[in-house]
Amino acid sequence: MNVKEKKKSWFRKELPFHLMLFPAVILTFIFKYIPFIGISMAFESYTPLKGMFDQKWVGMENYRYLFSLPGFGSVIWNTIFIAVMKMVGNLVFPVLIALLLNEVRGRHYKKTVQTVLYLPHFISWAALAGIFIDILSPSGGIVNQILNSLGMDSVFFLGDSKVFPYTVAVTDIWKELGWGTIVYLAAITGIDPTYYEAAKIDGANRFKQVLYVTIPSILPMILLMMVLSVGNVLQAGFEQVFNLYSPQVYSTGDIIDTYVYRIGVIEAKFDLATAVGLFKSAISFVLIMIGYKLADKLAGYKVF
Amino acid sequence: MKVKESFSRKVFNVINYIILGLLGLSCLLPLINLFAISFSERAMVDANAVTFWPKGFSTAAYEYILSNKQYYQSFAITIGRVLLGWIVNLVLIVLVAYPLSKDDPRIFKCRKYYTWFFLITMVFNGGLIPTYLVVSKLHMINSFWALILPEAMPMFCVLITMNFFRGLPKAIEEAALVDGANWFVTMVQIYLPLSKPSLATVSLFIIVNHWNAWFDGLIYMNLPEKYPLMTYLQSVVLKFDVTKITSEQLMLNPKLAEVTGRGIKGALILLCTVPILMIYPFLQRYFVSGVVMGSVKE
Amino acid sequence: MKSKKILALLLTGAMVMSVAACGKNEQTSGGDSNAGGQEETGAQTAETESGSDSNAGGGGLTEVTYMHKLNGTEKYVGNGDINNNVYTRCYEDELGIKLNFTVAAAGDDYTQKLTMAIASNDLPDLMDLPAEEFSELANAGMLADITDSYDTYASDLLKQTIEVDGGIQLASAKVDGRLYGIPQLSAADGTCDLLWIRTDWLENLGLKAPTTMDELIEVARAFRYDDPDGNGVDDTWGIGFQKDIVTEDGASPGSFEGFFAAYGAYARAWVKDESGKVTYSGINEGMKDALAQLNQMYQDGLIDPEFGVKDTVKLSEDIAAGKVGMFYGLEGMPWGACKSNIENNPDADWQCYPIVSATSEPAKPITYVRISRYYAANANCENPEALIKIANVFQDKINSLESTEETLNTFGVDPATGINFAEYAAFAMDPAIQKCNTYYAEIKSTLEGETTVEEIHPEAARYYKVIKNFIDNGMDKGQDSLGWNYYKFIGPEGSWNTIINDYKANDKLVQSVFFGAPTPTMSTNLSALNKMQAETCVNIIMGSQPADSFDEFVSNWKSLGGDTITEEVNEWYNTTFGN
Repeated sequence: MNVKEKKKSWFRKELPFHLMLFPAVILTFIFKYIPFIGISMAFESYTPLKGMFDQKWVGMENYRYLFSLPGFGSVIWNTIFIAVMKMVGNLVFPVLIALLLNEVRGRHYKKTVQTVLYLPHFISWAALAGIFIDILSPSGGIVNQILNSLGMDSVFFLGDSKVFPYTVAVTDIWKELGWGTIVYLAAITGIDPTYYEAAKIDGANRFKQVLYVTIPSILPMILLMMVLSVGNVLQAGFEQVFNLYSPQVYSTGDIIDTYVYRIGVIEAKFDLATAVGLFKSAISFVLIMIGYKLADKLAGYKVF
Repeated sequence: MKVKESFSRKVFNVINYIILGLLGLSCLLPLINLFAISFSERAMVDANAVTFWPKGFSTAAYEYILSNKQYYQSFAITIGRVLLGWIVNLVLIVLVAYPLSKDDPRIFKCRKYYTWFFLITMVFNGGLIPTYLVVSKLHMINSFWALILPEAMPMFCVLITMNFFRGLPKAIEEAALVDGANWFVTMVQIYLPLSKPSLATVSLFIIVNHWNAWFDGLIYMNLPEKYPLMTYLQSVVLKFDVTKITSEQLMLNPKLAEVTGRGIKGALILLCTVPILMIYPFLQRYFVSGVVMGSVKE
Repeated sequence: MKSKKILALLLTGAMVMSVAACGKNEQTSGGDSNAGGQEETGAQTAETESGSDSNAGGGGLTEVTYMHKLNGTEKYVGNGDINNNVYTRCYEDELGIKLNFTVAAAGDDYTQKLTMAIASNDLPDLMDLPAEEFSELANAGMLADITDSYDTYASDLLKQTIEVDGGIQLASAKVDGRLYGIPQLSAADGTCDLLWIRTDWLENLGLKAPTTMDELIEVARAFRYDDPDGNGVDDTWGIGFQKDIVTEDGASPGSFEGFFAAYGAYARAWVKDESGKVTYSGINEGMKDALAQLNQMYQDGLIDPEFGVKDTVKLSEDIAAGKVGMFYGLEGMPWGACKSNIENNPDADWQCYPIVSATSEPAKPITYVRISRYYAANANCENPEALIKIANVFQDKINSLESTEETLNTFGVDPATGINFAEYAAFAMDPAIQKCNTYYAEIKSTLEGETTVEEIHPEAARYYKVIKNFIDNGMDKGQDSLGWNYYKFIGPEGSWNTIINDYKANDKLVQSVFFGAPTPTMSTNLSALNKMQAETCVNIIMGSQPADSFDEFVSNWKSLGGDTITEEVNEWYNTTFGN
């Protein structure tokens, strides 16, 4: 009786939370969990002509096929190489820029720079590609003109297979820089000003204030972003690579997504697309879990 | 009150201003380039002769787009979905983020089950066809709700909001609870006012997401006249390949060559993105000037 | 607390309501009444439909749903839309067919939508199908057999248009001798490469148009190093190429096929050899020589070292900017970069020439049949003949010799606004193969005074007037670049007539014989093979790989599925054309 009563009061205590979560749970169940049935396609030879449940089961055959494709190994490696560079850059630079922006005194300058920085996020790669081909051109592109005036040789950023992955990473980091700062700027805004006053009284200069107040305060947000972004280890950015690459940089620039795109997966081969998707999701999930545990162990913070 | 700045601080400031200024400029130039292209004559654009100022000024690109009623239809659909989507998303985000921010198991025991329930959907998905079939079975094809309900609760925004909520001092809430307020009241009266920066941030994400989303419009809307703006931009204009037009088509209608050039694309990109760019400065004030939280200490 | 509960309820409620509302819509439009369609199509249809209420009685309107691939450039006037325009009204008034476009999308997106429709088992009565889906559905028995409908209802003009190539393309729409669809005809002859050269540069340097590969290289060298534009700046390339060497649907300007043809090779063609066997020409021995030659030209600086990252659009920019004076491209170039070049620099002038040979054999350009879609009817469709009836309309309105200028303005391009009403047609089939020839002959004889404008097809007459006007005004291309266009395309110096007819007359066109749906091994292995081929080609041209490595590629190509694909292609060829 006592236990029962306890349980009841516990439930009554938590009831408001369950009610709050109810609509989201229903929607998530309908639009996310029911479609999970489709994951079975990864192990089927799927043809849209037949119904969802009448497909031919092939087990791991799709994976066997994918991994037996000539050069698929190097494609995975290219993907990881580009994605990891992006991952690190997209974590570090937005924090850095957010901190630098926070040091700007002039309100108008700060606002303007902030607004302008996030513009590239809105321009699609299809539109940016033409611009990059021009400014990165070894003959007459502005970037190489600057390099030449500094006494350096021209670099064929988009045509040299040794340079291409870096070009992809840097241009992507540039594009998403301003967009990435937004969460940190918001986090910085949320910092209690009294912390700074206390630091000032302790004799901390601006640099030390950043080090001991700002960074620790936005650390939860940085950790969250970090944990989420390790899941991107196989996301090298289809749209970008697709618009920038060419056969001469296939050896370093061809990524999983562009490769499967050329097989025709996007349009028709849903079994392979699902297999690739599941593979990527599984890896993401494992990495996010590891990141979550690490953040908990090292920083003592559960990000979720 | 103002402390005299040290020399090194001054040097830092100058360098900081220059770095940010150059970075900002590099972000602005592509847009200026698009702008110049969209106002230039076609032959000049075709020869890639336009950089930052229009050559052979022409408004033909804008006339072409704005004389097509599809632009207005799609614009109206996008405005509708952004407004409705924003409200639905924001309500759900707060309703989910608030309970999930109660990381003390004594307060909310089931939290972690819910968290993982939602988190899994962030990483795994059933894919295009099953989701389409669900939407289709619910008879939501061609319906406005197909653009809103399947992604009604963006988990990324929930996590950000939850993170903000967790960072708020617990003392105020405890005080309110002692005073007899229930969880709903504390959420609405204490958490929401204090989380303006975070709500502004997720609002920005939501609005931009809804504005930029184009694939769902393509999949769930069966006729182009029901496309949202970005679907129209993506499917009808950006993907349209000039080189696919046959010379017979051109012979029949030489205007085709003009209307598919980069000028039109540039103009349409601007017409589709500039409205959303205006949102930012408006929301910006919520997270540039801090929210003074008084002297609440944990 | 209460208010939040209500909100939550409202949210779920709203969802249920929306579901219910949509369900209702679905019902009405799916049912046998026309009520659903009426709302969408507005007053015009409501009027006609009220007159034919006795729908169920057998007379009156037949409602047919249609899934349609759009061009992407459709523009509607007034309150018109895809379901309410000059063509849908025409189908309704003249055929008694109420066409209801339920799904429409452009380009690749259409394939996406089609797959969704197939997966949800929701196919309409009539549909446009890409080759692969057409073949799948036809073989699965999901398409209507339209053999009899075609024989009975197709007008002579339609049959004449479709079977102009002797029924080769139509044969690809048959399964076991029965017809399941009608291919969108591809004007294969128009896919051959021509050599486009800036004649003003030739004149400046006192050169003649090349007739052999050696001469071509000399012209390229002169264009590169002898300052052909006389501006004193080293800013010109010898010959223009773009990056896609192995591409599905050709790349113009900057195609490689015309160059490879000089060595009897083609990058992507399936060619029938003397023994009657179909082989892949991308692995020909001639290909190696061609690549070695390109590598030499690359080293000599005749080719833009950045060609490997430039697509056709980027190359077009260079052409329009006057940096390129020679390239391989299709017959339609006067409408593309060349026109922009002329508009920027009225002194520039372009002319096309036959491709040159590097051997003693004459160079034979390759042509491709590219069927963009098949028109087909659902096996469950009650009126598959509607497809044929609809197809007749376009022929009668646009292609018929009896069509007047007025019908052309109504159903074709409106000369005032430039809006092309023909894009609304559910089934538009141009007799593209002979159209340009016919029009050219008509325009020529009219220019020479043998016929009058009134006697020729009104569409040809329209072009004739533009060309005549251009000639009468002293052929001032700076003032009248559009006139120059028509003049160079279908006029006395037109590409189609001066070169392609010559190719044809001398039996110089080689046809790539495979144009079916991808074979099984193609859909699994071709992408990897294409990648390998593209990499090999570009690396040899740029010198990062010796020309001899081509042999290694060939043996890899064969062992990694190429041989199997070759067998499958031969099998397709024999079943489609063998009997």
